[in-house]
Amino acid sequence: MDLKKATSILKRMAVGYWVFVIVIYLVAGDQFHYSSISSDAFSPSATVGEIVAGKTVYQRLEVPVSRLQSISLMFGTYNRENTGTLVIRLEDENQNELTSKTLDVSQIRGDQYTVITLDEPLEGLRDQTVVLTVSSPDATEGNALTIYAGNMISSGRFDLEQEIPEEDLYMVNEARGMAKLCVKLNGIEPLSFYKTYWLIVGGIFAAFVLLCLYWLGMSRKGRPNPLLSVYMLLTRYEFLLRQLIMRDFKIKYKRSALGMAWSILNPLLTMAVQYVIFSTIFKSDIDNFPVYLLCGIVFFNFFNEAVSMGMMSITSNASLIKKVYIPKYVFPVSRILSSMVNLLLSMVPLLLVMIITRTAFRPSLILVVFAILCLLGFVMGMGLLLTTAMTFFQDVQFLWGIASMLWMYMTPIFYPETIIPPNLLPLFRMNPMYQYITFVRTCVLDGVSPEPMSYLWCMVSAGVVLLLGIAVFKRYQNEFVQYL
Amino acid sequence: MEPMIRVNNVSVRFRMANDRVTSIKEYMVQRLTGKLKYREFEALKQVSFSVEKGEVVGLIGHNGAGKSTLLKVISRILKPSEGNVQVFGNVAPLLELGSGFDFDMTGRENIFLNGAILGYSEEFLKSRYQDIIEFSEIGDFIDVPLRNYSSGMVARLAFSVATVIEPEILIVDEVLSVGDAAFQEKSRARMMELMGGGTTVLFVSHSMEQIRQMCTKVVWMDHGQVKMDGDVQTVCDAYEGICPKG
Repeated sequence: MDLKKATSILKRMAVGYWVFVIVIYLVAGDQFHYSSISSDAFSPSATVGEIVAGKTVYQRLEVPVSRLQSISLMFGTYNRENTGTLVIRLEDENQNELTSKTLDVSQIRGDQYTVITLDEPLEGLRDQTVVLTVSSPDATEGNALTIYAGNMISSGRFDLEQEIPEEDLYMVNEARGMAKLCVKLNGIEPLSFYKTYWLIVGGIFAAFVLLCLYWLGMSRKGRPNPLLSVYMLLTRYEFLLRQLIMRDFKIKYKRSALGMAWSILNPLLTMAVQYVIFSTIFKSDIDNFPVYLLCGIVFFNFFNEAVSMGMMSITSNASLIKKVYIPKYVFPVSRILSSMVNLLLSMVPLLLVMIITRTAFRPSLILVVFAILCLLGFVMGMGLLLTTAMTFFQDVQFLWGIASMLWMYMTPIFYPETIIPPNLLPLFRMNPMYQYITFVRTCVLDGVSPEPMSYLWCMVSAGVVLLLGIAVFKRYQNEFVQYL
Repeated sequence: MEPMIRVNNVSVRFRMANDRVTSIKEYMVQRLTGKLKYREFEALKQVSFSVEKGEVVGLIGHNGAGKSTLLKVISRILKPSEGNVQVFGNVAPLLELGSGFDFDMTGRENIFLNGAILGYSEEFLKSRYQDIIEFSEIGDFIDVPLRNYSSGMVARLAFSVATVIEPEILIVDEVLSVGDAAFQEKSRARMMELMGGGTTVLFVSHSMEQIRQMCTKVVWMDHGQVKMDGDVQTVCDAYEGICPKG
């Protein structure tokens, strides 16, 4: 009877898994097939002078992508209205024309990148050298554009000086300039990740099915069936878990007048305060700062709250644990799940602010569920690890106070990723919280799926920490009673 | 007679450090200076006995004899270092009064919370909800937070929740003095009712009068070992011969 129930739950889990996998594939589809690539751009520090008739600007470039779709150029207008036409050409090394485009000068705005989309994408030029030429048949002095050039690559707030080989400096007619044009080549690179995706997804499923079959076989032979015990563990204490979650939730706001509304108000007010403080410093770097901020606050607060609460769960229930047999995992798990309820409630202010700031609701929003699941696994692992450590050494709570503060500053919550020094960036990327929050922001703000590597990172970091947490907790749980 | 509890050669050892080391600094210092020695403390030594269905077993012995440790092992709270315990049936512990209650929640909420902690199912609690309220004589206070209860009311509620079930094995650790005289009489009646209904009871008390009155068998624990094990009259007489005050 129980076995039947357990198998039906497993079947439902399998269906849920495939629905989820297919939704991710549909939403993230393009990101699994292509990745968008742009070449590094130089920061503007000089100009090439007015591009009048008879003057041609040459720039040697290496194509970074397989399918070249557009060229971005930074023009300068000398703060005036210019008229006339501008001809942009791409040639191969033997001066054969690949493509050309004629632009209406009056339509071009200065001091920012103008994206020039090619009529037909150029294929098969990857890693080859091309020459970009810019000229004007009709421009006169005082009625002409210029192009910016530079010799530093900007990476966030930091400019890195670049050694530019001589043949890569721009040329005006026959004369070499001192810098490289501010130009970007943009395109897409076909990826075969979708094949890997189905392979990984199928592999996980196959492993799962094999494990279930193995367990089933064991129970046929009359041996204890882990499948059944896992099921029993989940259902037998489900009522208790629900009661404990309800208690945590009720107690939290019991004596406050606004009650549950605080779960919604809290992130909103935190965001308001941080917005006022940081908007002047960072606003220019970040589009839609309120939503950016709220994504970080909501998810980091969940992490912080859930781990701190989970950490204390065994010691604060000492009197119970010493009196009655309850599987000890119930305490950290119920604590973390009640923080999870809080997280779901704080999705309300996030959606609210998205509506107010007119952020587009794209299908990629569904992918946030993936990030939440990974984060939940990560938090569970951390909670189990720390609560085990906490039972033996009370110092852990004070260490965690400091560590969580450091962790908060190491995660881009209120500051833009661009202020992280480029050489420290790999270190920041090792931080799982960075991964989850960036994942959510890509889904919410950019409206696209994150790149495949992000999925992998999120899953691996959550899985490793969760398994470690379970292993450590299991190993030491029988000794807890002696130390409480 | 079928056995309900079988305790086979159970030993429980605690590792006691010189002093309890509960900070990492202390631990490191002691470890490095080589002072970290564990003293083994044997709370139970090779304890064996068995309890048949329907028996009311009294556990007696002086303080620190291992009675509570034994109860903890039987109710699975503590894992024995050696030996094993077989329990054939569900065990209901009578919680020390108030533990498992949350004083910010109402009586109604606490009935469900405490019931869940004791391992009752949701359907069972719902079906016996009225009985619990009636037995506890809480009345209109049921929707008032527990912090506004008198201590007698809390005790009555705790007793009512704990005994609403008819457990196969009931563990009673010196809690039979609940509430006022009238309620004490009522709770004793309930206990007797449970015992009459075939429930196996493990009963710890220092009151020899209670033991003689209620038990059918007595186990005398001394320094972690079973000193004597047998019918009430013989064991109680022997025990009182050594410690006349009880």
